[in-house]
Amino acid sequence: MTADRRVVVVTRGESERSLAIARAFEQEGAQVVLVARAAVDAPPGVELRILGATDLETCRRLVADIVSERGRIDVWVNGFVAPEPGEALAVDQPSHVVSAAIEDTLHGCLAAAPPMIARGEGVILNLSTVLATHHEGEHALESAASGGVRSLTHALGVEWAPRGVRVVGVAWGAAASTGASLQRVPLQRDLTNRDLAEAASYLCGPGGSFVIAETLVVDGGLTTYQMF
Amino acid sequence: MSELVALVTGAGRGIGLGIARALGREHGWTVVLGDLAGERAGEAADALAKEGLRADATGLDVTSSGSCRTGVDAVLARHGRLDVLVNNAGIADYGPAETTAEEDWSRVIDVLLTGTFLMSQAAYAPLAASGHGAIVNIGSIGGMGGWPMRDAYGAAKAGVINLTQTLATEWAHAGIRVNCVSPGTIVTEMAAEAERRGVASLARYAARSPVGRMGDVEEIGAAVAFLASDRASFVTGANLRVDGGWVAWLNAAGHGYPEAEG
Repeated sequence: MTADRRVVVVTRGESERSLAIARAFEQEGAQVVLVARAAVDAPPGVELRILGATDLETCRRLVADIVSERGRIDVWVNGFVAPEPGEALAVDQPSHVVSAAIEDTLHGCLAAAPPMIARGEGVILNLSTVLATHHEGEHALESAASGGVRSLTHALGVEWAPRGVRVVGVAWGAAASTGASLQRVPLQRDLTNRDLAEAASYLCGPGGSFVIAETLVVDGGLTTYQMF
Repeated sequence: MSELVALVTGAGRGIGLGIARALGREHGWTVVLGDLAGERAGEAADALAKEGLRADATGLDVTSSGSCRTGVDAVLARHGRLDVLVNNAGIADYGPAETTAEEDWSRVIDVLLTGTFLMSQAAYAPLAASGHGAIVNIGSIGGMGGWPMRDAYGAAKAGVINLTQTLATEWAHAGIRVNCVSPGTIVTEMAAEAERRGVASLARYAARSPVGRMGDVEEIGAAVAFLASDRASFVTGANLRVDGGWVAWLNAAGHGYPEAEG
């Protein structure tokens, strides 16, 4: 029955967000490959692959390996690790920090898409944060990186839609990492990894088939709320 | 959660019926189909019941606060609760702004925007008491940009998108999530009617869409089913485009545009 199970790849496995999404897809019955920079505790049933670099060639080799072993990739989730907060003026190589975060996603997309396009079917999900559109504190580099990911989702979503590949996104907003108090969040609680996994499941599933080049905001209303 | 009850406005046909079917099938909820054409809603509910879903119908004029209250009262009387409201009822307009009659403008605003407000207001108390309260409004890509000859429609849908944000922030304390689904061009009877009247070309719609086709009502139903459920319990104030990539595409060559295609 293995052949009938969707093949899902989740990158940035060193982040708890990616781990949770991998676990959720596995529980849905998918074959899941978690790609991480270093060894992590992969959830049961999830194959862990350590990838030291995320240059395009390395990503392409990874995709080729997975396709040759499992036959195809149905869903590719580009995880997101935001650049560390800090005063932008104090960061030695801010452009490098930003471009590295964007390139992770870009290379993931460029590596995953060709076999999907060849089959005329596949979904790529890009994670990012709501700081793409709403700045806070010393998170300018996260804003720039998230904005880059968001625009890529927009652009590649349009570009690959005629070829059967859907590119979509989830942007999360967490009180804890933005310094917001829970009173500032309309739903009065913080983001859980379960919230992200559910959004990912819907967007990458059959019900999401007409959602293209769109990023769903999962933030408890944080960015919608213009307080008076 | 299968004990929940959802009310879908404009559910006699088209997108509304697709939403009602999706909520019933995916979640096992009781769905009440509201429609100005009560008979049509009744027939649609019978059809859903034959498919094994728990479905019921009520006549509903969303432009009347009295009718909205009566509709909600009917749901409560028959089913004891109301957990999810889907504001879908809509009409389309078409005509040059410079000669649009005031009553035609008002009618579209009344149904799309005021109707969404009045229905939400009428449903507030049971939704707040639910513990799973959720509203999903149906916006439109027409409310996210300029569509010539659809002045009232675009303005009303933009209003629906903002009302979604306002109610999401205002009613979060009551445990009510409010989100919006903005469909692109969808295969419905209303779209077919527009083509018959010569005010829409479905072939052009497909050509203008990055994915090369119009959407199906099931795809809108799936989006609403997600946002209305506890799976989306941290999503509020969102406007989810379900448009095949329409809005994201600049379409510089003008595919699907009369000017480009003659």
